[in-house]
Amino acid sequence: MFLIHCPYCGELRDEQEYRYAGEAFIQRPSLDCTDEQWGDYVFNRTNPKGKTVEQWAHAAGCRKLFVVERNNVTNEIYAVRTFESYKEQA
Amino acid sequence: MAKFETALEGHDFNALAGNGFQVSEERNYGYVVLRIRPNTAGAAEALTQLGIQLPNALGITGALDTKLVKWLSPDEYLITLPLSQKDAFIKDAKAALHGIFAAVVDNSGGYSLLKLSGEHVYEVLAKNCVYDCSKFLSEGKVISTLFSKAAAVIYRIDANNVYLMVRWSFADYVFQALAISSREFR
Repeated sequence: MFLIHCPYCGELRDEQEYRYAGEAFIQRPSLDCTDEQWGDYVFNRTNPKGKTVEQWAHAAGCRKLFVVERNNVTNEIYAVRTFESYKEQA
Repeated sequence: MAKFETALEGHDFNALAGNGFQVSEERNYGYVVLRIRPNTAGAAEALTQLGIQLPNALGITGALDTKLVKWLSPDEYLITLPLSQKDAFIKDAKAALHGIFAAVVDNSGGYSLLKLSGEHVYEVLAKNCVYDCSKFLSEGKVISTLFSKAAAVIYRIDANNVYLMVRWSFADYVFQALAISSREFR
């Protein structure tokens, strides 16, 4: 159990209020891609040990999706950011 | 016309009442969800016309006997108002927000609103919530969190009462959870 800061509510909330929503920034391939590329997009994940960049949804709170940079070994959270903040940075 | 009944019809709220904890059901309110981003073009004028001031994150504006506007998410606000004023308000709101990127949805059939009071109210909440209500739920604040396993909206607009709003389908579950967790205070 750990606490996650919700960037929209602006508060630390318990993990139980959130839902894990998979790896972040998976690029959808173009429509003329091969079956292998499509299969890679649908099924294959990077599955790193250590720092991960993942999506979390504040399911019982504001119901917004955002990005958590987390260490999946120690559960240390490096950063919690909205998708908008990545857009502004790019 | 069919008899007006809520999801907690026939539940004995007196059985839950003790010296330091009371529960009552607030029956005569309507719930309208307003989806709008505060910076939408034309929103400010339309909302002023409706007499609504959008609160900041986790905030509340207005009053329960007119229109209580609660922040749910950056583009979602829950308006609680007397049931008798609900239809007129929805009509006005749809007219005022016409052509603006917004939505007004009547959710009045969807929720049960409970009023909790008494000196042990935070102890009962602490048994069910992952959120520390006694420490962080200040007056004029609304939070969406879990009550036991049910998603709930919990808010305080005055010093003595805590309002707990849940989907009507979870109302019986919440009632039973309240009955068990308040047993020691009866």
